[in-house]
Amino acid sequence: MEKIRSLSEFEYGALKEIGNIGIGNSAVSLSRLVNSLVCTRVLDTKFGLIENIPKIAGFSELPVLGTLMRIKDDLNGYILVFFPENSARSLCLTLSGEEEKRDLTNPMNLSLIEEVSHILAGTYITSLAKFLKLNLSISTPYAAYDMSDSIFNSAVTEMSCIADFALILDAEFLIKENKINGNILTLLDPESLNHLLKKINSMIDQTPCTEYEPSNYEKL
Amino acid sequence: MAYSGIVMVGIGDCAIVRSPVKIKTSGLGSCLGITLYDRQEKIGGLLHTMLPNIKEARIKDNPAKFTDAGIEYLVDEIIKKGGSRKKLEAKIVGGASMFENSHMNIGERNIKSAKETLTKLGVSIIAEDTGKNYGRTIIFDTFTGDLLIKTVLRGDKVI
Repeated sequence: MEKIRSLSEFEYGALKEIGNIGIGNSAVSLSRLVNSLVCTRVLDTKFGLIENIPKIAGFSELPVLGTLMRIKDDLNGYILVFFPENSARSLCLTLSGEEEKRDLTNPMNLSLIEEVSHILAGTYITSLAKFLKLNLSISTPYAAYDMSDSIFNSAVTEMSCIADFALILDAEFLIKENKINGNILTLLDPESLNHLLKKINSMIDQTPCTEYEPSNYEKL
Repeated sequence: MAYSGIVMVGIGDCAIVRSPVKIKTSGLGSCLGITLYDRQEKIGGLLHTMLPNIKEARIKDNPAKFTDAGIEYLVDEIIKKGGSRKKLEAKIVGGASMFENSHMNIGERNIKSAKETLTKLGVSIIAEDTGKNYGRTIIFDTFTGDLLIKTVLRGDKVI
C-alpha cells in the first residue's frame, strides 16, 4: 500500500514554480503561433486521493476541446490541454483564417487543436525536463470534444489503474486580443511526485549528499 | 417528503434517496453510472464507479470506486433501507471510450463487470445506454424512476 503523505507549504510552492516554468515556455510557443501576447497563471496544485481530484479541479458540464497525452520515462502521468468552445473556435480561425471552418466537429479543426495542444504540452514537458535534468517524453495526442468533466474523469480513471493518489497542477493561459484561453493540467502519480521533489530538493540544497562525502568514505 | 432537491454524486461515490428527490452525477466518461430502483417503495440509488474490479485494487476502503463491489454495496444498502431485491430494477449508463487510444478498455470492462455482478445478484437490467465515444451526465428521478441522459452533441434522452 502506498504511504499517505501530505505536502508542506514549501513543497507546494516549489511545485507551483515548476508549473510556472512549464506554462511560461508553452506560452512562448503559443504566442509565436498566434502572434499575440500570452498571459499565464498557475491556478492551483493539490495532492490527494485520486477520486477526489475531479472535486479539487472543479469541472463543469460545459463543452471543451480536451487533448490527452501521456507523460512517459522519468515521470509517469498525464497532461491535458483544455480549450473552451469559443477559444477553440477563435484559435481555428486565427490559424486557418477561414471563417466557415468554425465547426468544431470538423476533423480538420479537431486535428488542428490536437496539434496545437501537442506543441503546448511538448514545450511544457521539455522545459521541465531541461530544468530538472530529467528524461521525459509525451505520447501522441488524442482530442475529444465533450463535457470537460467527462474528459477529465476519463483521464483520472486511466490514471487510477496505476495509482491511488495523484498530484494535479492546473495552469492557465490567456490571449486577450483573440479571446483565447485554456488550461494545461498535469497529473502525476505519487512515485513521480517523490522523484520530482527529490530533484527540487537536490537543486536547492547546495551541500552534496552525505553518501558522496569523502569523510564518510574514510570512516567506512 | 417535503424536501425535493437534487443530490449530487461525485466520481467513486454513491447515494440512496427516496421519492421525490433526484440524484445527479455529471461527466460519465469511461466511468459507469448504475441506478437501482424499487418502484413500489419509491427508493432509488445511484453509483458512479471508476474501475471494473476491486480484486486488483491496492486500497479497498471505498467500494463505490469499483463496479463489482459498488453494486454489491448499493444493493445491500437499498435492501437495508426497505427495498426488496426481487423488485429492484437496474439501469446502466456510461462506459464510453473518450479517446481513440483507450487500449485499456476500461469502459467496456466496466460494462461487462456491471452486467456480471447484477446477474449474479439477481437484479434485472431494464435499460442501458453504454459504450460509444461521448460523455454523459445523468439525472435520476426517484418519483418516476426515469433516468435523464444529457450529452453535449447528441441531445438529451430519457430511458
